[in-house]
Amino acid sequence: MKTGLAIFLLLFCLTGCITNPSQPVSYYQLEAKSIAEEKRVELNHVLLVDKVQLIELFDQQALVQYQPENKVNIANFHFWAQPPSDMLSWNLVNALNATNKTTAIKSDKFYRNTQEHQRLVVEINEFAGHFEKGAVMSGTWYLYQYKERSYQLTQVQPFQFETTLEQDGFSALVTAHQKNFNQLTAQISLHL
Amino acid sequence: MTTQADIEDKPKFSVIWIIPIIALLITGWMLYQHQANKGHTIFIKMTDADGIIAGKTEVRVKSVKVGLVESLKLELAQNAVVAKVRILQPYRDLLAEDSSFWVVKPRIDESGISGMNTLLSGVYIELSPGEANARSSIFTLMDEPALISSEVQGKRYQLVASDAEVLDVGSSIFFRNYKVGQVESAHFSVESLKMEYGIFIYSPYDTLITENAIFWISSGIDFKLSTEGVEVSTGSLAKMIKGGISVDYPPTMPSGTVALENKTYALHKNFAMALEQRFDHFDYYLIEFEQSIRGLRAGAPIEYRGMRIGTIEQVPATGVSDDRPLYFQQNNTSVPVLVKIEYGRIYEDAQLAQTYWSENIDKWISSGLRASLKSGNLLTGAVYIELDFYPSAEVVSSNKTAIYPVLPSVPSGITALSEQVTSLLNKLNGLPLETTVKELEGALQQHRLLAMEMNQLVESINNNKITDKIGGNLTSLKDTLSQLTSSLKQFEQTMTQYQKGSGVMDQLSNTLEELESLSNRLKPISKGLNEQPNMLIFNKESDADPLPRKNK
Repeated sequence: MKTGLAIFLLLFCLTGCITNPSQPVSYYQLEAKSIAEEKRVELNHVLLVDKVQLIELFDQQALVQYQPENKVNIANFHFWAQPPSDMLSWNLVNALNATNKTTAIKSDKFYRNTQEHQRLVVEINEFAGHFEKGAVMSGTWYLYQYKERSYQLTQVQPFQFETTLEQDGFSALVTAHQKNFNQLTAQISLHL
Repeated sequence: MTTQADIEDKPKFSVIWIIPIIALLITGWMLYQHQANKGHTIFIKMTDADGIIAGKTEVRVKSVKVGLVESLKLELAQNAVVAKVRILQPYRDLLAEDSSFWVVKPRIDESGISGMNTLLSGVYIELSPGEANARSSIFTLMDEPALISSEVQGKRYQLVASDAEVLDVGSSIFFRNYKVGQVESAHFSVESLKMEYGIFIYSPYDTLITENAIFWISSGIDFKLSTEGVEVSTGSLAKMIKGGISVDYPPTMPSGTVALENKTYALHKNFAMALEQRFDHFDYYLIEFEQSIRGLRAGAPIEYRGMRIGTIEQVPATGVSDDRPLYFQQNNTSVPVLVKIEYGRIYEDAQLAQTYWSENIDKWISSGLRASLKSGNLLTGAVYIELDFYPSAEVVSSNKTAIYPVLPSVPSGITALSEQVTSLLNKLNGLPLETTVKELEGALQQHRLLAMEMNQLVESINNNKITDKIGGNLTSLKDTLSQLTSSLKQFEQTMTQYQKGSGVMDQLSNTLEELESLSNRLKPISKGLNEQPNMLIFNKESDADPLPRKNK
């Protein structure tokens, strides 16, 4: 009898610990441009794209927002669907391929050819929401040319994009990020 | 009719008298009770009645009132004050003949501060009950409190000190720095010209006092300058202030059997002296030196090849032979030194050592045993005597004086050095140089023959085409090197599999990428745990994220 009562009390207490989450978790993904299905692969104009490098604060799935008084908020309920470096890398490859100016390949995907090609390195220093500016994205990209068995730096381009939000909410923030990213790909493709 | 009255005899004792008799008996009983309850009157003689007030000063045992000072009377004839004290009836048995009384008043002495409570309450007389069967009514007030109560268990011993410093009554006795007793009495004996101490060792430490125990004054600081150098030793601060007596066993001796009570021990000046004096099994010997004995002091050691076997007793020896001092002897220019050969230093069983020494000393002297002066301390210039064998020493007779046996000596220093040089030269003279030169000449001839044989051997090696064999070995060495080169190439090929772009490296790269991805996925959990450590059990209670706002 006593044992049964004790088990009941224990279960009762544990039940009290279990509550429904106070807020649902949301996941977001930047839109990847579709590649033309019949795109001709031209291996004589290859662009190797290195994995996009983000500083540690922004290279996490939680959405990051700059707050007043130099505070930074790392979201508890709003996440990217995948790590931003992976998401931006793949979207960058897709977007550059969609421009039909080059054949973009991720640099770690077994490209062994020694013929001349280009290589793109993108470093992102800011990739966050901002309490005033909306969405901000800044950094530098580097373009290398492979010649005589070594890479030669041919172009360095800093970038900084800011897009205000069209309405309140995280969806609007993700849309603003999307616009910034589109501006980046447009800028890179312009210099290829 | 006449009637005659009956006349009864008058009773001799009227009943009415019973009443006064009873009253008388009751009065007598009350007087007896009063007298009996008044207690026992004693008289305490004292030199000074400082602080004692008649009718107020109490007599106490263990702070319990057992009596009261009734009156004080000045006895000019005896130059004393006699206090009449009434001891309460129940405590009559405390008045044994050897009971002691002293005044308890504020005191500051080496044992600390005591009697402070009497500053307000006034002094009182403390009674320490004795153990004797006989009772007494006259006592003498002690100047100082009784050190050892009769109830304290322990044993009493006597110490006699001839040259140690004087200690006060109450000084502590330490066994390895732990207090085990104290000095009960101290007085200077006019007869023996020595200090005699009565000491009390508390039980159970009285079992530490054995036949082999040695006592010495522990003054706190001991400074010793000897042939072994300067030695300073200090005790604890309390011991430095209070001093005391230390008791212990000689380091290399067993403790022995427990000593009987009232045994008398010698109290030595310091530990070293205590160790020295226990070698009471010795013989005197005389050593005559034909050189300066500057630096030799009484108490310096006498050693045999570094092993101490005795002590210098007198420098120079003041013995008299033929009604003359030893160094007044005719035809004797030597300086005599009296030494003690202490057999306890030679062997634990002194008797056995003495027998061995006595049986062999003459033989040793005839074999060259001699005493010589050695420098013990260059700083102080102190010297000691060392015994050693000098086979080349002049043969001497073992006994020269009638007082003590003589140990012959050899000069040391420059004299000894010259003797050693002479001995060395004698040895050199004794060397068979001619024979050695001849043997050396023979050895050189043999060496020439050997060189010739070596030449012949080299020629025969050249003739036997040894170089061809070496050439063949070099060829095989070349083959081996080519095999080694082939192996190194294979190793290089193996290593290329691990270079960038190789399959292995690709697999490794993928694995690292997966690990990085996993690390990224764990970041929110890590953040949540950091903010709320119990989130794995309880629901996460995170604040709502700030809503991104459209810029106004």
